[in-house]
Amino acid sequence: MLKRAIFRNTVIRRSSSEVTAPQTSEDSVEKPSANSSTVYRPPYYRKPHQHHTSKHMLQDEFLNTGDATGAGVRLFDYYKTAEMVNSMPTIKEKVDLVSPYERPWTRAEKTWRRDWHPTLMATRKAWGIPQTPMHFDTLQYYQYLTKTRVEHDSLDDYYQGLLPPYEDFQTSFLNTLKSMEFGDGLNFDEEQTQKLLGSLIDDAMGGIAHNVTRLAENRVAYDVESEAFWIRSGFSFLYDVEEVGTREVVRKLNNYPKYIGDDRRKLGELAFVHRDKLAAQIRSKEALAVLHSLDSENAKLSIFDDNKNDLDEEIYSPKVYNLWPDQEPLWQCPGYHVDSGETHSHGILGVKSLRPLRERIAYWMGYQDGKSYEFEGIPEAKQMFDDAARSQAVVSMFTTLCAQAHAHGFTQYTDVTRPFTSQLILSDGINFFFAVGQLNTLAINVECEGFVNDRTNFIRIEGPFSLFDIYDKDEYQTINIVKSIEGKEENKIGPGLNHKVLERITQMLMKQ
Amino acid sequence: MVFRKYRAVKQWGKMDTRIFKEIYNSRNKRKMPAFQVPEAIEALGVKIFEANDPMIFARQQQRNIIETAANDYNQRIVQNEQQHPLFKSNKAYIFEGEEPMSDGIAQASLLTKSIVRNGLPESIIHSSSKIEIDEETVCDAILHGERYDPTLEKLPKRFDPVLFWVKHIRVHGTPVVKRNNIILDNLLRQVVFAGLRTNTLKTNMQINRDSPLSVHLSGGLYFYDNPLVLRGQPHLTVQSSDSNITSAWAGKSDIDAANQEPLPDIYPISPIIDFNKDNIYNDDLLLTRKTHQSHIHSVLWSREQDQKYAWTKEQNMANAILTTYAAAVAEATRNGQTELEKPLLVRGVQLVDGRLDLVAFQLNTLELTEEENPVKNIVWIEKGIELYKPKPFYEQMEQVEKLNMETFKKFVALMLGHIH
Repeated sequence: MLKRAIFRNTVIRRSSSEVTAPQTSEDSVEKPSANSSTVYRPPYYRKPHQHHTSKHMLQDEFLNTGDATGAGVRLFDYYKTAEMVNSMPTIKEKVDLVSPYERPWTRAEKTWRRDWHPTLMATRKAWGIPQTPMHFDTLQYYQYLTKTRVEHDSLDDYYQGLLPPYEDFQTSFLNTLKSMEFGDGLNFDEEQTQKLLGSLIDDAMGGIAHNVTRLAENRVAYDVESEAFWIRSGFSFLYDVEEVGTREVVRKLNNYPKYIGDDRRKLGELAFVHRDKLAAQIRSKEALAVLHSLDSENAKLSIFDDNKNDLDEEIYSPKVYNLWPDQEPLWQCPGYHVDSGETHSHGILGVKSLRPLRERIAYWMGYQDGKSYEFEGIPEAKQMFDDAARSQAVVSMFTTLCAQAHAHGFTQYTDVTRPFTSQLILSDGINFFFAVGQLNTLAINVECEGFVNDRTNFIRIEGPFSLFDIYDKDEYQTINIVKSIEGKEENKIGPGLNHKVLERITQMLMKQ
Repeated sequence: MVFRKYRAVKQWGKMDTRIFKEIYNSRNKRKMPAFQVPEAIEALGVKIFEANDPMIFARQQQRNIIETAANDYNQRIVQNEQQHPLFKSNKAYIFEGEEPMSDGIAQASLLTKSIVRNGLPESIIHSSSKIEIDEETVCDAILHGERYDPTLEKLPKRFDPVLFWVKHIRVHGTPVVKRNNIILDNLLRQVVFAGLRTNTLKTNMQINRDSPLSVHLSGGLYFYDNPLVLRGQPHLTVQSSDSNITSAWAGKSDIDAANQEPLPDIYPISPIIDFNKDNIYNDDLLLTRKTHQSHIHSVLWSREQDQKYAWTKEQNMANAILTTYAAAVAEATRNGQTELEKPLLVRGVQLVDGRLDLVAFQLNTLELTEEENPVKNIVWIEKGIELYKPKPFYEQMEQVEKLNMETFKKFVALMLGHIH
């Protein structure tokens, strides 16, 4: 219970067990961990930052840790917000409460403000993550923004035991490719790719519909929005300024402009928004099976390698990664609005087009028209494409899962109590990436002493697989692994599409 | 001291007057730039006269000098157009589903040379009675379009026929056509899956979304000089590799009976009154998968009613008949065929305002309306049958009202029904 009375001493108290527990070794020193029952309301004059330093010893204050670091105020604020979120009756109100959106000032407000009115403080904008990366090296940055651990590995064991037929799918999809005049796929534009990916799902579902009756119960939506906003902490370094002359780095919080997207208290907690568009989405009433539970070791592995403690090399201002401020209203929209009463609330599969990325890479490579150019043979272009596709997978997966978690009543202040899992296909029509991801935590918006959150989100990305290897005179040929009569596996070239791609898509549809 | 919340507005004083006088004086002193002949007029080659010249009227020999220049210019554009290799001197009548047919179904049946049968055949409805799709599924399919879709586009201005001077606030949401398209998508998927489950459908359907459809017809009474072009962009073009899906519903005797019936007479209205006329460059058949071994099962699309000039049920049905006719002709003439070997049947579904227009068009002849050839097409229609009651676009639907399962059964019968 939070005490409303103002305590003279505001402390973050450890729970009694923690204090009494004898420390066996020096390595396992536990960080102090706060919770709502151990945080007390700080006096009103305590601020998250110490703006004033004492000029002489009579002004010296002997603060407790919580007040000195500002963590006491911050934690109280966090748990108070959580309490308010919990007291909200509907999910819509919960989402509205945690939304960092601040309406921009209207023209009338700006026109009629007078000097005796308070100044119009800059309203909070979110950093908009573009539909596909606009910078060539975003993977680790996006990982940090979403606190996601990435594994680049095969998904074979996840889909073990599912051996669906894909012959019908292949024939009908080959027909679709011809009907849309796909050719070698280099001249396709974004709109056509979206349509193609929509038909891909149609054909895949049609191929197994007679066996899998469950498919008819799923919701299939084409060209659907997937939007989410979130706050990520750890950007206080944006206020660090190197003093001229002394070369000393000082954190300038007083008399220094608030960074775009930050809280008005300059907490270094930036708001982010990703307005994603899925070519197709399949939603279900039941959730997918989870990869690991929230308590397991896998949910607590760190996002980067253990030996990489210094994040300074990776984390820069969002401007560096070509993100732009977005002042439009923010939604949590995993293919539906949270107040729409959607019955199929678990997105089990999303299909996202990477065609804009292809165009961007062509632009980076300096190709004249920026569109129809094959760069599969050029290693550096391919490398950039693959990396960008993977980072897009990270952020698309987080977006859809974050919005889903919000739709189920969890927020960044009231963290998830069960994991959310989803699958993703990313493709520009030629190259296919498959991903399975799990959301383990949303509480990534606070970083201060006493707030311990070891859980990390997880995504496993597989790919790229090319849909075909050779295109010649309206015929597609692919090198596939074929089992010979003796049971040996051989690479054999033959007409048709990549069996791996077809099989994986069908498996994703069948996965429960 | 008295607390004054707001400072009084400052009076307009003599200094302000002086400032403004100076501003206006200096503005008057500024010289206007000399008149320059605009480039656009120079390009026309118009002769320009000095306005202060006393002999101006004598010089102005040619009276309509600007008009001639403009005509020359237009002529040059027309000549350029006519030099196009695909230019055709005869303009074509164009049907795009944008103008309502004045005389409705009768006009459409006259244009397509078809005999109209109201209601689907009993045997068709009976043959699909074992397919069961429950009410909840249909409700869900409708709600997906009407309620769950997250699109937030700016919707059109609302027009209130009674309080027509009131300016309503603009709302954002899913456009009506998109809502209806989602509903059609869902209904079709449910029907196809049910067909595959019960083995009524042997193979899966191949669906193309928003692909263009255009057929070019000439001959007959009305289109001898100027051909007819039927165009459309149905949301769903459903095709199948199974050739049995286009098998005709009416047998030989039924066709003979239909041939004896006269076509409707809509005198004094000309049936081609509602068509636009324009030059057409490409007279090829436009159809997705036209070179494949597949057959059109059906076309499904939706319309949005105009707020001021809503089409009548008859006009909607006429539109549905003509579009389905276009699909049937496209099916008959795909792969460069010019002759109709055997009668074929194509289905059309149009969703307008929660009402379905169901059409089954049996094409018996490719000939257009004329007196000599007695063979006629047959079209079965279900006109404007209510599937559910939609809310106006500016209101949010919470529950499906007045869902009519009989209508849905007819839809299923149309899509999956067959004659044994």
